[in-house]
Amino acid sequence: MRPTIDINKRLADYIYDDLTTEEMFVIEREIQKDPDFFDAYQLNKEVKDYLKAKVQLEEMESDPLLEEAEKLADMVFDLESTDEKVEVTIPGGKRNKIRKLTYAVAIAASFALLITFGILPGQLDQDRLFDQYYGPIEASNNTQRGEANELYSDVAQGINYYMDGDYQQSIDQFRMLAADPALQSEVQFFTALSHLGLGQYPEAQGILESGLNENIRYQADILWYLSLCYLKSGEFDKANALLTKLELYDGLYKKDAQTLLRKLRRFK
Amino acid sequence: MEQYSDQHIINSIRKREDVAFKYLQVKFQDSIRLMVVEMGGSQEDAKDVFSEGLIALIRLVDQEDFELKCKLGTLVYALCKKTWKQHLEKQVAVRNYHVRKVESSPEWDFTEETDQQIYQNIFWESFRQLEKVCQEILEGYLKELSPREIAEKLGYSYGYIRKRKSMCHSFLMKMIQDHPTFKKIKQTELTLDID
Repeated sequence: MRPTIDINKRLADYIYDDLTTEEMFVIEREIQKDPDFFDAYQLNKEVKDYLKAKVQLEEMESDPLLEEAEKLADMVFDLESTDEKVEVTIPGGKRNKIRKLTYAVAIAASFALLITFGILPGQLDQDRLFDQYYGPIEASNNTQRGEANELYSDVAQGINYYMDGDYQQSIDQFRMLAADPALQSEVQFFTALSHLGLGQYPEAQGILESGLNENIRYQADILWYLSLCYLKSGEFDKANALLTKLELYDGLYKKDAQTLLRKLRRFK
Repeated sequence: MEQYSDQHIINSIRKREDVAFKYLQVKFQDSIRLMVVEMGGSQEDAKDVFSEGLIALIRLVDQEDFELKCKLGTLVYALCKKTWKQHLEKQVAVRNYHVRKVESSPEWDFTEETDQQIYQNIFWESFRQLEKVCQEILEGYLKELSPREIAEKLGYSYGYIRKRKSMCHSFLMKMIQDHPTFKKIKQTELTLDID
Protein backbone atom coordinates (compact mmCIF):
# COMPACT_ATOMS: atom_id res chain seq x y z
CA MET A 1 0.00 0.00 0.00
CA ARG A 2 1.35 3.44 -0.92
CA PRO A 3 2.02 5.96 1.84
CA THR A 4 -0.83 8.48 2.15
CA ILE A 5 1.61 11.36 2.04
CA ASP A 6 2.74 10.39 -1.50
CA ILE A 7 -0.84 10.12 -2.71
CA ASN A 8 -1.63 13.56 -1.32
CA LYS A 9 1.46 15.07 -2.92
CA ARG A 10 0.52 13.71 -6.33
CA LEU A 11 -3.06 14.80 -5.91
CA ALA A 12 -1.93 18.29 -4.91
CA ASP A 13 -0.51 18.85 -8.38
CA TYR A 14 -3.72 17.51 -9.90
CA ILE A 15 -6.23 19.50 -7.88
CA TYR A 16 -4.20 22.69 -8.14
CA ASP A 17 -4.09 22.26 -11.90
CA ASP A 18 -0.33 21.99 -12.06
CA LEU A 19 0.25 19.00 -14.38
CA THR A 20 0.78 18.36 -18.08
CA THR A 21 -1.92 16.67 -20.15
CA GLU A 22 -0.21 13.30 -19.98
CA GLU A 23 0.26 13.50 -16.22
CA MET A 24 -3.39 14.51 -15.78
CA PHE A 25 -4.48 11.60 -17.92
CA VAL A 26 -2.46 9.15 -15.82
CA ILE A 27 -3.94 10.49 -12.58
CA GLU A 28 -7.48 10.39 -13.97
CA ARG A 29 -7.04 6.77 -15.04
CA GLU A 30 -5.81 5.95 -11.58
CA ILE A 31 -8.74 7.75 -9.95
CA GLN A 32 -11.12 5.68 -12.06
CA LYS A 33 -9.41 2.38 -11.38
CA ASP A 34 -8.23 2.54 -7.79
CA PRO A 35 -10.94 3.01 -5.11
CA ASP A 36 -8.41 4.10 -2.46
CA PHE A 37 -6.94 6.68 -4.77
CA PHE A 38 -10.47 7.80 -5.62
CA ASP A 39 -11.36 8.29 -1.95
CA ALA A 40 -8.15 10.24 -1.41
CA TYR A 41 -8.99 12.43 -4.40
CA GLN A 42 -12.45 13.16 -3.01
CA LEU A 43 -11.07 14.26 0.34
CA ASN A 44 -8.29 16.35 -1.22
CA LYS A 45 -10.78 18.08 -3.46
CA GLU A 46 -13.23 18.67 -0.63
CA VAL A 47 -10.49 20.33 1.41
CA LYS A 48 -9.35 22.47 -1.51
CA ASP A 49 -12.89 23.56 -2.45
CA TYR A 50 -13.69 24.48 1.12
CA LEU A 51 -10.46 26.42 1.62
CA LYS A 52 -10.96 28.25 -1.65
CA ALA A 53 -14.43 29.41 -0.58
CA LYS A 54 -13.20 30.28 2.91
CA VAL A 55 -10.22 32.29 1.67
CA GLN A 56 -12.46 34.18 -0.74
CA LEU A 57 -15.00 34.84 2.00
CA GLU A 58 -12.29 36.17 4.33
CA GLU A 59 -11.07 38.42 1.55
CA MET A 60 -14.56 39.82 1.04
CA GLU A 61 -15.13 40.32 4.75
CA SER A 62 -11.87 42.19 5.21
CA ASP A 63 -12.11 44.31 2.07
CA PRO A 64 -11.56 47.97 3.11
CA LEU A 65 -14.26 48.93 0.62
CA LEU A 66 -16.86 46.67 2.20
CA GLU A 67 -18.57 49.69 3.74
CA GLU A 68 -19.01 51.15 0.27
CA ALA A 69 -20.52 47.87 -0.93
CA GLU A 70 -22.87 47.78 2.05
CA LYS A 71 -24.10 51.28 1.23
CA LEU A 72 -24.94 50.12 -2.28
CA ALA A 73 -26.68 47.07 -0.85
CA ASP A 74 -28.77 49.27 1.45
CA MET A 75 -29.65 51.46 -1.50
CA VAL A 76 -30.84 48.64 -3.72
CA PHE A 77 -33.08 47.21 -1.02
CA ASP A 78 -34.60 50.66 -0.52
CA LEU A 79 -35.45 50.64 -4.21
CA GLU A 80 -37.69 47.59 -3.86
CA SER A 81 -40.77 49.55 -2.90
CA THR A 82 -40.51 51.78 -5.96
CA ASP A 83 -40.09 48.97 -8.49
CA GLU A 84 -43.36 49.49 -10.24
CA LYS A 85 -42.67 53.15 -10.94
CA VAL A 86 -39.26 52.67 -12.52
CA GLU A 87 -38.95 52.13 -16.23
CA VAL A 88 -35.97 50.69 -18.03
CA THR A 89 -35.21 50.07 -21.67
CA ILE A 90 -33.78 46.79 -22.87
CA PRO A 91 -33.13 45.67 -26.43
CA GLY A 92 -36.03 43.76 -27.96
CA GLY A 93 -36.07 40.92 -30.45
CA LYS A 94 -35.33 43.17 -33.43
CA ARG A 95 -32.17 45.19 -33.50
CA ASN A 96 -33.77 48.58 -34.07
CA LYS A 97 -36.75 48.12 -31.92
CA ILE A 98 -36.48 49.22 -28.31
CA ARG A 99 -39.12 47.98 -25.97
CA LYS A 100 -39.99 49.72 -22.77
CA LEU A 101 -40.74 47.39 -19.92
CA THR A 102 -41.65 48.03 -16.36
CA TYR A 103 -38.87 47.13 -14.01
CA ALA A 104 -40.88 44.27 -12.61
CA VAL A 105 -41.02 42.67 -16.04
CA ALA A 106 -37.29 43.14 -16.53
CA ILE A 107 -36.63 41.49 -13.22
CA ALA A 108 -39.00 38.66 -14.13
CA ALA A 109 -36.97 38.15 -17.30
CA SER A 110 -33.82 38.00 -15.19
CA PHE A 111 -35.45 35.39 -12.98
CA ALA A 112 -36.07 33.28 -16.06
CA LEU A 113 -32.43 33.65 -17.03
CA LEU A 114 -31.28 32.60 -13.59
CA ILE A 115 -33.60 29.60 -13.62
CA THR A 116 -32.00 28.57 -16.91
CA PHE A 117 -28.64 28.46 -15.18
CA GLY A 118 -29.93 26.54 -12.20
CA ILE A 119 -29.15 29.53 -9.98
CA LEU A 120 -32.83 29.73 -9.10
CA PRO A 121 -34.65 26.51 -8.32
CA GLY A 122 -37.61 25.61 -10.50
CA GLN A 123 -41.10 25.23 -9.14
CA LEU A 124 -41.47 21.48 -9.37
CA ASP A 125 -39.84 19.40 -6.72
CA GLN A 126 -38.24 17.09 -9.26
CA ASP A 127 -36.78 20.04 -11.14
CA ARG A 128 -35.57 21.47 -7.89
CA LEU A 129 -33.91 18.21 -7.00
CA PHE A 130 -32.41 17.93 -10.46
CA ASP A 131 -31.01 21.46 -10.21
CA GLN A 132 -29.62 20.69 -6.81
CA TYR A 133 -27.79 17.56 -7.90
CA TYR A 134 -26.93 18.18 -11.54
CA GLY A 135 -23.58 19.72 -12.32
CA PRO A 136 -21.23 19.34 -15.27
CA ILE A 137 -18.71 16.60 -14.67
CA GLU A 138 -15.31 17.77 -13.57
CA ALA A 139 -13.15 16.63 -16.45
CA SER A 140 -9.80 18.33 -16.64
CA ASN A 141 -9.29 21.43 -18.68
CA ASN A 142 -6.64 20.56 -21.17
CA THR A 143 -6.38 23.72 -23.19
CA GLN A 144 -3.23 25.04 -21.61
CA ARG A 145 -1.35 21.89 -20.98
CA GLY A 146 1.66 20.28 -22.59
CA GLU A 147 1.95 18.28 -25.77
CA ALA A 148 -0.17 15.19 -26.25
CA ASN A 149 -0.54 12.61 -28.97
CA GLU A 150 -2.84 13.58 -31.80
CA LEU A 151 -5.64 11.19 -30.96
CA TYR A 152 -5.84 12.27 -27.38
CA SER A 153 -5.56 15.93 -28.28
CA ASP A 154 -8.73 15.57 -30.41
CA VAL A 155 -10.52 14.01 -27.46
CA ALA A 156 -9.10 16.65 -25.15
CA GLN A 157 -10.36 19.36 -27.48
CA GLY A 158 -13.89 17.94 -27.25
CA ILE A 159 -13.63 17.72 -23.48
CA ASN A 160 -12.37 21.27 -23.31
CA TYR A 161 -15.34 22.52 -25.31
CA TYR A 162 -17.53 20.73 -22.82
CA MET A 163 -15.66 22.19 -19.87
CA ASP A 164 -15.96 25.67 -21.35
CA GLY A 165 -19.70 25.20 -21.72
CA ASP A 166 -19.51 25.12 -25.55
CA TYR A 167 -21.74 22.09 -25.59
CA GLN A 168 -22.71 22.25 -29.25
CA GLN A 169 -19.05 22.47 -30.27
CA SER A 170 -18.27 19.55 -28.03
CA ILE A 171 -21.00 17.50 -29.71
CA ASP A 172 -19.63 18.46 -33.15
CA GLN A 173 -16.07 17.58 -32.12
CA PHE A 174 -17.04 14.16 -30.83
CA ARG A 175 -19.18 13.54 -33.90
CA MET A 176 -15.98 13.79 -35.95
CA LEU A 177 -14.37 11.15 -33.74
CA ALA A 178 -17.36 8.80 -33.73
CA ALA A 179 -15.94 6.50 -36.40
CA ASP A 180 -12.98 5.47 -34.25
CA PRO A 181 -13.94 2.38 -32.20
CA ALA A 182 -11.21 3.13 -29.66
CA LEU A 183 -12.94 6.37 -28.71
CA GLN A 184 -16.51 5.10 -28.36
CA SER A 185 -16.59 5.57 -24.61
CA GLU A 186 -15.47 9.20 -24.77
CA VAL A 187 -17.66 9.96 -27.78
CA GLN A 188 -20.82 8.58 -26.20
CA PHE A 189 -20.19 9.87 -22.73
CA PHE A 190 -19.29 13.45 -23.56
CA THR A 191 -21.89 13.74 -26.30
CA ALA A 192 -24.54 12.72 -23.77
CA LEU A 193 -23.23 15.15 -21.18
CA SER A 194 -23.18 17.97 -23.71
CA HIS A 195 -26.82 17.28 -24.55
CA LEU A 196 -27.52 17.43 -20.82
CA GLY A 197 -25.70 20.74 -20.67
CA LEU A 198 -27.91 22.04 -23.47
CA GLY A 199 -31.03 20.87 -21.62
CA GLN A 200 -31.71 18.23 -24.30
CA TYR A 201 -32.64 15.56 -21.79
CA PRO A 202 -34.24 12.89 -24.04
CA GLU A 203 -31.17 12.90 -26.32
CA ALA A 204 -28.85 12.62 -23.34
CA GLN A 205 -30.97 9.85 -21.84
CA GLY A 206 -30.93 7.79 -25.05
CA ILE A 207 -27.14 7.93 -25.39
CA LEU A 208 -26.56 7.19 -21.73
CA GLU A 209 -28.89 4.19 -21.90
CA SER A 210 -26.86 2.84 -24.84
CA GLY A 211 -23.64 3.49 -22.96
CA LEU A 212 -24.97 1.55 -20.00
CA ASN A 213 -26.08 -1.40 -22.12
CA GLU A 214 -22.84 -1.48 -24.07
CA ASN A 215 -20.89 -1.34 -20.85
CA ILE A 216 -18.56 1.42 -22.03
CA ARG A 217 -16.17 3.17 -19.63
CA TYR A 218 -17.48 5.75 -17.13
CA GLN A 219 -20.14 3.34 -15.79
CA ALA A 220 -20.46 5.06 -12.41
CA ASP A 221 -20.77 8.45 -14.08
CA ILE A 222 -23.31 7.07 -16.53
CA LEU A 223 -25.40 5.64 -13.70
CA TRP A 224 -25.39 9.01 -11.99
CA TYR A 225 -26.26 11.18 -14.99
CA LEU A 226 -28.82 8.70 -16.31
CA SER A 227 -30.53 8.62 -12.93
CA LEU A 228 -30.73 12.43 -13.10
CA CYS A 229 -32.30 12.17 -16.59
CA TYR A 230 -34.89 9.79 -15.17
CA LEU A 231 -35.49 12.16 -12.29
CA LYS A 232 -36.02 15.00 -14.75
CA SER A 233 -38.47 12.98 -16.84
CA GLY A 234 -40.35 11.79 -13.77
CA GLU A 235 -39.34 8.12 -14.16
CA PHE A 236 -38.65 7.73 -10.48
CA ASP A 237 -38.56 3.92 -10.38
CA LYS A 238 -35.83 3.84 -12.98
CA ALA A 239 -33.94 6.59 -11.15
CA ASN A 240 -34.30 4.62 -7.93
CA ALA A 241 -32.93 1.46 -9.51
CA LEU A 242 -29.82 3.21 -10.81
CA LEU A 243 -29.18 5.12 -7.61
CA THR A 244 -29.43 1.88 -5.66
CA LYS A 245 -26.71 0.44 -7.89
CA LEU A 246 -24.62 3.55 -7.37
CA GLU A 247 -24.96 3.18 -3.64
CA LEU A 248 -22.96 -0.02 -4.01
CA TYR A 249 -20.13 1.71 -5.86
CA ASP A 250 -17.71 2.88 -3.25
CA GLY A 251 -16.98 6.10 -5.04
CA LEU A 252 -17.66 9.69 -5.89
CA TYR A 253 -21.43 9.41 -6.20
CA LYS A 254 -22.14 7.16 -3.26
CA LYS A 255 -23.05 9.84 -0.76
CA ASP A 256 -25.13 11.88 -3.20
CA ALA A 257 -26.88 8.72 -4.40
CA GLN A 258 -27.82 7.84 -0.84
CA THR A 259 -29.18 11.31 -0.09
CA LEU A 260 -31.04 11.54 -3.38
CA LEU A 261 -32.59 8.12 -2.83
CA ARG A 262 -33.93 9.29 0.52
CA LYS A 263 -35.40 12.41 -1.08
CA LEU A 264 -36.90 10.42 -3.94
CA ARG A 265 -39.01 8.43 -1.51
CA ARG A 266 -41.18 11.55 -1.27
CA PHE A 267 -42.33 11.01 -4.84
CA LYS A 268 -43.48 7.46 -4.22
CA MET B 1 -12.06 29.25 -15.72
CA GLU B 2 -11.58 32.27 -17.93
CA GLN B 3 -11.05 35.46 -15.98
CA TYR B 4 -12.95 38.66 -16.69
CA SER B 5 -12.61 42.13 -15.24
CA ASP B 6 -15.33 43.29 -12.85
CA GLN B 7 -16.38 46.00 -15.27
CA HIS B 8 -16.68 43.47 -18.08
CA ILE B 9 -19.08 41.43 -15.96
CA ILE B 10 -21.10 44.52 -15.03
CA ASN B 11 -21.47 45.37 -18.72
CA SER B 12 -22.46 41.78 -19.47
CA ILE B 13 -25.10 41.84 -16.75
CA ARG B 14 -26.55 44.98 -18.27
CA LYS B 15 -26.79 43.19 -21.60
CA ARG B 16 -28.20 40.10 -19.85
CA GLU B 17 -25.44 37.98 -21.32
CA ASP B 18 -25.36 34.35 -20.18
CA VAL B 19 -21.65 34.42 -19.57
CA ALA B 20 -22.02 36.93 -16.73
CA PHE B 21 -24.42 34.78 -14.71
CA LYS B 22 -22.42 31.66 -15.29
CA TYR B 23 -19.27 33.45 -14.19
CA LEU B 24 -20.88 34.82 -11.03
CA GLN B 25 -22.17 31.39 -10.16
CA VAL B 26 -18.84 29.63 -10.61
CA LYS B 27 -16.86 32.40 -8.97
CA PHE B 28 -18.91 33.31 -5.92
CA GLN B 29 -21.59 30.73 -5.13
CA ASP B 30 -19.39 28.58 -2.89
CA SER B 31 -18.24 31.43 -0.68
CA ILE B 32 -21.77 32.83 -0.38
CA ARG B 33 -23.00 29.36 0.57
CA LEU B 34 -20.33 29.24 3.22
CA MET B 35 -21.32 32.67 4.55
CA VAL B 36 -24.99 31.67 4.89
CA VAL B 37 -24.15 28.36 6.56
CA GLU B 38 -21.76 30.10 8.95
CA MET B 39 -24.58 32.52 9.79
CA GLY B 40 -26.93 29.69 10.69
CA GLY B 41 -28.62 28.96 7.37
CA SER B 42 -28.93 25.69 5.49
CA GLN B 43 -27.61 24.75 2.05
CA GLU B 44 -31.09 25.40 0.63
CA ASP B 45 -31.23 28.84 2.28
CA ALA B 46 -27.84 29.57 0.75
CA LYS B 47 -29.09 28.78 -2.72
CA ASP B 48 -32.08 31.09 -2.27
CA VAL B 49 -29.91 33.86 -0.85
CA PHE B 50 -27.49 33.67 -3.75
CA SER B 51 -30.34 33.88 -6.26
CA GLU B 52 -31.88 36.85 -4.51
CA GLY B 53 -28.48 38.50 -4.18
CA LEU B 54 -28.02 38.24 -7.94
CA ILE B 55 -31.46 39.72 -8.56
CA ALA B 56 -30.46 42.62 -6.31
CA LEU B 57 -27.23 42.98 -8.25
CA ILE B 58 -29.13 43.17 -11.54
CA ARG B 59 -31.43 45.78 -10.00
CA LEU B 60 -28.43 47.78 -8.87
CA VAL B 61 -26.35 47.73 -12.05
CA ASP B 62 -29.42 48.72 -14.05
CA GLN B 63 -29.41 52.07 -12.28
CA GLU B 64 -28.11 54.70 -14.69
CA ASP B 65 -25.83 56.29 -12.12
CA PHE B 66 -24.42 53.00 -10.84
CA GLU B 67 -20.66 52.97 -10.55
CA LEU B 68 -18.64 50.07 -9.16
CA LYS B 69 -16.42 51.50 -6.44
CA CYS B 70 -15.38 48.22 -4.84
CA LYS B 71 -14.59 44.68 -5.96
CA LEU B 72 -17.50 42.89 -7.58
CA GLY B 73 -17.04 39.98 -5.16
CA THR B 74 -17.35 42.31 -2.19
CA LEU B 75 -20.53 43.77 -3.65
CA VAL B 76 -22.04 40.32 -4.22
CA TYR B 77 -21.11 39.47 -0.64
CA ALA B 78 -22.73 42.65 0.75
CA LEU B 79 -25.92 42.07 -1.26
CA CYS B 80 -26.22 38.45 -0.19
CA LYS B 81 -25.46 39.27 3.43
CA LYS B 82 -28.14 41.96 3.41
CA THR B 83 -30.57 39.49 1.82
CA TRP B 84 -29.88 36.90 4.48
CA LYS B 85 -30.20 39.45 7.30
CA GLN B 86 -33.55 40.57 5.93
CA HIS B 87 -34.69 36.95 5.85
CA LEU B 88 -33.69 36.54 9.45
CA GLU B 89 -35.30 39.80 10.52
CA LYS B 90 -38.59 38.83 8.99
CA GLN B 91 -38.11 35.33 10.38
CA VAL B 92 -39.11 33.95 7.02
CA ALA B 93 -36.04 31.81 6.88
CA VAL B 94 -36.66 30.41 10.31
CA ARG B 95 -40.32 29.66 9.54
CA ASN B 96 -39.47 28.11 6.19
CA TYR B 97 -36.76 26.11 7.81
CA HIS B 98 -39.21 24.49 10.20
CA VAL B 99 -41.90 23.99 7.56
CA ARG B 100 -39.38 22.36 5.26
CA LYS B 101 -37.94 20.15 7.94
CA VAL B 102 -41.22 19.10 9.51
CA GLU B 103 -43.55 18.82 6.53
CA SER B 104 -41.59 18.31 3.36
CA SER B 105 -38.58 16.35 4.37
CA PRO B 106 -39.11 14.28 7.47
CA GLU B 107 -36.00 12.25 6.72
CA TRP B 108 -33.67 15.23 6.67
CA ASP B 109 -30.28 14.13 7.85
CA PHE B 110 -29.06 16.60 10.42
CA THR B 111 -26.00 14.50 11.19
CA GLU B 112 -24.77 14.91 7.65
CA GLU B 113 -24.75 18.72 7.89
CA THR B 114 -23.27 18.74 11.36
CA ASP B 115 -20.44 16.41 10.32
CA GLN B 116 -19.80 18.65 7.36
CA GLN B 117 -19.41 21.65 9.64
CA ILE B 118 -17.09 19.77 11.98
CA TYR B 119 -14.98 18.68 9.02
CA GLN B 120 -14.78 22.23 7.75
CA ASN B 121 -13.68 23.51 11.14
CA ILE B 122 -10.91 20.92 11.12
CA PHE B 123 -9.88 21.90 7.58
CA TRP B 124 -9.61 25.57 8.55
CA GLU B 125 -7.98 24.95 11.90
CA SER B 126 -5.36 22.77 10.23
CA PHE B 127 -4.76 25.28 7.46
CA ARG B 128 -4.19 28.01 10.03
CA GLN B 129 -1.66 25.81 11.82
CA LEU B 130 0.53 25.50 8.72
CA GLU B 131 3.67 27.55 8.71
CA LYS B 132 3.21 31.00 7.25
CA VAL B 133 4.97 30.40 3.96
CA CYS B 134 2.81 27.32 3.33
CA GLN B 135 -0.35 29.32 4.02
CA GLU B 136 0.80 32.04 1.65
CA ILE B 137 1.65 29.64 -1.16
CA LEU B 138 -1.60 27.70 -0.88
CA GLU B 139 -3.57 30.94 -0.57
CA GLY B 140 -2.02 32.07 -3.83
CA TYR B 141 -3.19 28.90 -5.55
CA LEU B 142 -6.64 29.14 -3.93
CA LYS B 143 -6.94 32.69 -5.25
CA GLU B 144 -6.16 31.28 -8.70
CA LEU B 145 -2.86 33.10 -9.07
CA SER B 146 -0.38 31.37 -11.38
CA PRO B 147 2.73 29.77 -9.80
CA ARG B 148 4.78 32.52 -11.46
CA GLU B 149 2.67 35.26 -9.87
CA ILE B 150 2.97 33.59 -6.48
CA ALA B 151 6.73 33.20 -6.93
CA GLU B 152 7.06 36.85 -7.82
CA LYS B 153 4.89 37.98 -4.94
CA LEU B 154 6.71 35.90 -2.33
CA GLY B 155 10.21 36.26 -3.78
CA TYR B 156 10.86 32.58 -4.49
CA SER B 157 11.64 30.72 -7.70
CA TYR B 158 8.89 29.22 -9.84
CA GLY B 159 10.17 25.68 -9.29
CA TYR B 160 10.34 26.15 -5.55
CA ILE B 161 6.74 27.35 -5.39
CA ARG B 162 5.44 24.34 -7.33
CA LYS B 163 7.41 21.86 -5.25
CA ARG B 164 6.63 23.55 -1.95
CA LYS B 165 2.94 23.72 -2.79
CA SER B 166 2.74 19.93 -3.04
CA MET B 167 4.61 19.50 0.23
CA CYS B 168 2.45 22.07 2.03
CA HIS B 169 -0.75 20.54 0.74
CA SER B 170 0.28 17.03 1.66
CA PHE B 171 1.31 18.25 5.11
CA LEU B 172 -2.08 19.90 5.49
CA MET B 173 -3.84 16.69 4.50
CA LYS B 174 -1.80 14.74 7.01
CA MET B 175 -2.77 17.16 9.79
CA ILE B 176 -6.42 16.78 8.83
CA GLN B 177 -6.28 13.00 8.57
CA ASP B 178 -4.46 12.73 11.90
CA HIS B 179 -6.89 15.05 13.68
CA PRO B 180 -8.54 13.03 16.49
CA THR B 181 -12.06 14.32 15.75
CA PHE B 182 -11.67 13.66 12.04
CA LYS B 183 -10.52 10.12 12.74
CA LYS B 184 -13.40 9.58 15.13
CA ILE B 185 -16.08 10.68 12.64
CA LYS B 186 -14.48 8.67 9.83
CA GLN B 187 -14.46 5.62 12.08
CA THR B 188 -18.16 6.13 12.85
CA GLU B 189 -18.96 6.45 9.14
CA LEU B 190 -17.08 3.25 8.46
CA THR B 191 -18.99 1.42 11.17
CA LEU B 192 -22.33 2.70 9.80
CA ASP B 193 -21.36 1.59 6.29
CA ILE B 194 -20.56 -1.91 7.53
CA ASP B 195 -23.84 -2.07 9.45
